[in-house]
Amino acid sequence: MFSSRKHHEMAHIFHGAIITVYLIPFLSHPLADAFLKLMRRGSSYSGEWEESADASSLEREWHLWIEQESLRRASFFAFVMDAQHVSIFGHSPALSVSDIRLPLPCSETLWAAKSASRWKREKGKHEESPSFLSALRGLLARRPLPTIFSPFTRFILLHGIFSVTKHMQERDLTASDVGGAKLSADESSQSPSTFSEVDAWRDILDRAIETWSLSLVSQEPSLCLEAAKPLHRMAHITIHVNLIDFHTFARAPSLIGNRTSPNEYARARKRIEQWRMKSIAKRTLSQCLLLIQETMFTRKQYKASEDNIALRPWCLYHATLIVWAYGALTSGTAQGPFLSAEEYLIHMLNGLLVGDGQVTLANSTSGLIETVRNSLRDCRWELLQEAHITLGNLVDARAS
Amino acid sequence: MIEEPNELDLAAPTLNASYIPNVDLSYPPSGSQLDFGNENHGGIQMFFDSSMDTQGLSDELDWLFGTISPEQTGQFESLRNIDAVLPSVSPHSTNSHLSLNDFMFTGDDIWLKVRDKILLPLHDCLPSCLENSFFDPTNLERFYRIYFANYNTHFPILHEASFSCNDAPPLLLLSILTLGATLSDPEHFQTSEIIHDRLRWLIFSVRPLSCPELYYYK
Repeated sequence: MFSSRKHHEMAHIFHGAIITVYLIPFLSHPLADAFLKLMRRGSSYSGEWEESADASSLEREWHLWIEQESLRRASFFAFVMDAQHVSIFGHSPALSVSDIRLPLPCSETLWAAKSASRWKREKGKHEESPSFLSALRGLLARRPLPTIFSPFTRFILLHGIFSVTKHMQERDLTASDVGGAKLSADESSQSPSTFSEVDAWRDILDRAIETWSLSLVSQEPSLCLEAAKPLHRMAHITIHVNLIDFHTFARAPSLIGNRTSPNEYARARKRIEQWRMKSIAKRTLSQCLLLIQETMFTRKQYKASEDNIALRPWCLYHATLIVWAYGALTSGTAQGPFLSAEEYLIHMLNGLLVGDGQVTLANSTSGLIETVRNSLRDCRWELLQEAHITLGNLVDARAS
Repeated sequence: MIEEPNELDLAAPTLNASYIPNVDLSYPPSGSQLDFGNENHGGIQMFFDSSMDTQGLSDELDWLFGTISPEQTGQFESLRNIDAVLPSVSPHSTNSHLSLNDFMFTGDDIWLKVRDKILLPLHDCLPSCLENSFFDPTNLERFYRIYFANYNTHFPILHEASFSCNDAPPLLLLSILTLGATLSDPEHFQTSEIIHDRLRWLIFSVRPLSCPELYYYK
């Protein structure tokens, strides 16, 4: 991901092929004997354990377990990548949650055991991991995740929500194409208290993410949970909007390498307008502002080029685009007073979270955009270099 | 399928043992190699099978070692000689072998072997890429550590406690090291980009299902 546009586009093309060739057999027949035999031969771990008569049976058992567990984790990794590419980059999904018929990865202590005997001891302490789907169903029923779940497991389940969100949106889209006027009628008649059928799943997923966010709490520092922080805000956001629409609306270069037609631009703008008119828009906006605040203003000065979490700057960029779009569409382009990034965040969050939900000066975003733009300077990742330019264009357009 | 190499073969001068990088002798272990022949796997061959053209490849790669500084070459030479004289490590003694070479990152030996191993699949890259300081053993070790500190903590796919550079397939090592390099200095970032251009095709040329961890290189 810390890479060029070319690699990004190539990754998009190859992603589906890799999943088909490498993972589908594993996902659907997790323990098929023949398959595992084949896997083992190419395994990165000491294959000779099986051959060695001297190695204790415990060692052998441990190494076999390591192979299975690593394969399972690699499969989940593919699923996580798939869900991210779909939700964050607007690619088409290669997997759905129902493809994943695997138990979740094991606990952290079992995985980190340094010897076969320690592994055996740990294994006795814990039950088998529950399956991915049952844990995901639990989340949707607002059951908090057990604390024994490792950060990676929590990360995987968050991406389960991303994936479900995307599939529900696709379903709605198809329904609206087939059902004609039904969807638009629902949208115009909705009020915050009565959820139409269209919004019922949104509510369930929103709450599931709230429940999930309780597992961001951990005593151990974890890079995985650190990366999950902006992503869980993104999960809230993508329930209600399509990030690519904002990308198009800001006239950023297309992510799949083609040109944006005027028609696409008009449609993106229309969908953003529809979102903005809903009462839920203000919650989405709060999530964006909190994401920006948590990323940029909670430790030393944030520099995307030094961030070892690849997606974090990209989330920051999109949250900024959404804030900009909301401001531009709500308060027009008339020049308000200049607010610094901090002033803008405080002013907006105070209005949205503490006050009565009325926001003024929503379009005084130039200070914020400029600050975010500076933090994206000198990135190696080509898409972030483009993001830097796009934000620059937004500031320039405002000034002229 | 080439027959199982025995100790006699390894020591025989006709094989020109000093030219064969140590990794080719020990990987994959001879026992498992025999087993492959007995099982029906549709004639798919391992990309990194030691039985494939060992001689030819290492001859082709010989010019590469011209860039190594004299003392490094010397060190490497002595290492090879020892391995050529001593019987190869038998699969039965892997326990001590593993703990000696893989859990101590102090010496350069293991990284010299790693370098040889990852250079094999890259043999048709441009010399300017292959001569890069990217392949210095100290840099390789650094990339490896960066990977496990930054990527494997985020996506714990590889089992660090039992991971063995000796046994890992070259393409997996290459993926790990180039990913580590992306979080390193700009020069090595560029080299890893060039290698990634190749790596995608190399990985697809390996028989399917050999190692889904490879997927991770992206």
